[in-house]
Amino acid sequence: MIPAAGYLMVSAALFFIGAAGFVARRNLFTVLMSIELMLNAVNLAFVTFSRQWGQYGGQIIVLLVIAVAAAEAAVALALVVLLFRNKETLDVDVFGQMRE
Amino acid sequence: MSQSWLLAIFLLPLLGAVLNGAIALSVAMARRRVPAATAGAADGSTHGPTLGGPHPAIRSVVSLIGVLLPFASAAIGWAFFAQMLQPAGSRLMTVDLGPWFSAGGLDVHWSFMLDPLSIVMVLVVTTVGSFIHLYSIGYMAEDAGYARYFAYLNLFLAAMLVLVMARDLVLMFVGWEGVGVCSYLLIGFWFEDSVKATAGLKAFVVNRVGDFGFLLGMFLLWWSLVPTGGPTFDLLKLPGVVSVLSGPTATAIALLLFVGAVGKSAQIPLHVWLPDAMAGPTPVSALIHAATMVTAGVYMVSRMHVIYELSHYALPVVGLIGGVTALMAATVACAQTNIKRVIAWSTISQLGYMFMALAANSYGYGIFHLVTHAFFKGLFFLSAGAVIHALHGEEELSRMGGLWKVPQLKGTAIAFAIAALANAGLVPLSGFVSKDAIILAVANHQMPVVLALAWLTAFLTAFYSVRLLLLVFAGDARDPHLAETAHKPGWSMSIALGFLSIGAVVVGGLNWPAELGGQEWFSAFLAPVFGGPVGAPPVPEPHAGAVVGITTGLVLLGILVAWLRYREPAPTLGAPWRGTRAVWTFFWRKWYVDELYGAVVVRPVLALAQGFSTAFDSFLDAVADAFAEIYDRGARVVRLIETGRVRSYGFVMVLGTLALLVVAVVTGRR
Repeated sequence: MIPAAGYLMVSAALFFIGAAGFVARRNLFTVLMSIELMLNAVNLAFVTFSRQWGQYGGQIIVLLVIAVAAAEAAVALALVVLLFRNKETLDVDVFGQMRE
Repeated sequence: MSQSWLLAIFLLPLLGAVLNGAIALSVAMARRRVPAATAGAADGSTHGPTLGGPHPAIRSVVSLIGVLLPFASAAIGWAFFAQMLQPAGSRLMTVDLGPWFSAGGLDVHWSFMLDPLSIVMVLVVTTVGSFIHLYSIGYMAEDAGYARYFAYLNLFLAAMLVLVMARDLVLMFVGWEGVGVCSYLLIGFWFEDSVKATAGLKAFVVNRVGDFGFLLGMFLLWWSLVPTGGPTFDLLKLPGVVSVLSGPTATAIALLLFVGAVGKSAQIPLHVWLPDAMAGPTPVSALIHAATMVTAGVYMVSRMHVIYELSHYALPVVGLIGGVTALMAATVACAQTNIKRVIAWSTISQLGYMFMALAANSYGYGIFHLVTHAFFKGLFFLSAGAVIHALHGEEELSRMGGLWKVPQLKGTAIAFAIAALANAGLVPLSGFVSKDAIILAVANHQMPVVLALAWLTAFLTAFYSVRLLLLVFAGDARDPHLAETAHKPGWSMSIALGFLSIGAVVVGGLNWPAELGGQEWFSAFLAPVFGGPVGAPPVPEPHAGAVVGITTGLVLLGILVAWLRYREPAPTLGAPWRGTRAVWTFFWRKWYVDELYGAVVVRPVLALAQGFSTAFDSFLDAVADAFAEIYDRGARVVRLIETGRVRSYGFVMVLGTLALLVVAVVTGRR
């Protein structure tokens, strides 16, 4: 059996890949995918701890996160479509109006 | 007639003030809108007479309200007077409208009364006042602030009537302050001229000094009546309770109240506001600054006479102040070169006479001089106003002279002459009767200093009155063009001049002195108020013949001197005789009192205010600026992280998360 540390290392690796993508990439879709990646990294950690301690709270949270992530993806994709219609681009740095 | 009708006496003018005030406001608002709309129009001539006087229809309505209501109030006053004269009629009428406020033992009611003293004041105020209102129709016809003027004038009348009809000292103070406000508003009526606005301010500020004394006097009166268990400001109950006051307390109260009277009635040292008050329209000078408001101090001292009589020192002080003021003001009046200023100083001088009468325990004579003065000084101002109006607003004597030859001004000249000679105290005009009575009373009361002052003033009064008369009307016109374009006074002005002329001649008959074989009906009427013996014949002064002879001689001498000096056209208005220039300048500069106040009070206060303003301003500015600087600097820093880029926000989030993680690991918290 693979020790819990292995799962956690994978989780951490996934999370930082996601975080790096979120910060470094400029394409909106990539940014969204990076967010999904981080969410799932966290899910993996939850499941790992849940299994290790024999408690089901972590798994319940994971189900919740998946549901929320699905909803979030639906809203986010709709926003992306609208943003694209406005600016004809998916470059996140173009959408800086909040500063003005 | 029910007693509650006496409320109508002051409510009618108040109604006029409200209605005219509403009209004035709506006219002002309409006018503010109109120029904006028509400013661009090429011809402004099509848009009615808004520039000069008000719209004729508005003027008619304002005149009707503003003049008829005072006349109605005068009619009610006369009806009450007639009722009082009935043998069986009550001489005291009161109306209590219920409590105004009560605090501690103080219980102030809206209570009004009419006793012989009040009804005399009411009749003077409403009757002379009504005719001055009538006169104003002609005098103010071309003024843009016509409705505003009548609103103020009506309001003044209401306040003055509250003052003289109040049964409570606190309520009297309400009227006292009310007339002060109206005086301020009317002196500064043409407030676009900063000199006139400042004159109003000066009157108000100087009067504040006096009012402060009045207030302190009231407080002290209250405080010293507390031991009696039932302190009161009720003017009808006061005479019964003040006997508990000790001499020094009564002196303090009396003198503090007198400070108020000194302020209102323009006596030394608070007389400086009255000459400047001439900045207001001339009917205002006649009504407020000659006939009524300035006599409020005389009324108040008479009303509170019981307190003055408890003190050994109060009345002599009153007499001395009155005498010195009378003399000083008369000397200044001799040297003035502005027609209204001469009369203003003359008013101060005559008010001094009234206080001399009060000091001689002859309140009836003081009040009687107040009444005759209202007629002849009101007439003096109104006829001077007719001259000013005829000369298109000219007030300087240097541009008058020779107006007797102007046919349009014959009537004005006769009225002016009656006023000047009554003011001079020529037999048998009203001014003679009341002034002689005062001088006799002073002689009878063994007050040699005051008597000397009164005699000297009588001489000077005759001199300056005739000087003014001759400078305006005698000789050749100093400004022929101005004299040629002079116009007749309008019908309303003529009626008022006619009425007051008759009054200035005959009113003296009401109190023809006993020494000259008279009945002194007026003094007898007032006797119940002043605690004198009712029905008893007045005590004649033993040397009455000599006193009257000296007074009349001095008056005739004054008239003669003025006649000899000014009957020919005077080439200069300066010193009349060689070698008198220094004295004349001293008089002309009003004894340098204004300069003295400027140096001792006004300038130090202004400098102090300037200093405070600079010090506090710079301190507060520094504090406020420091805060502004902090926020500004902070904002500059914070702005740097506000990039508007999603990725940089994300980066900060990640960094934050990492930081939390590091903290958690390092501290070992779970």
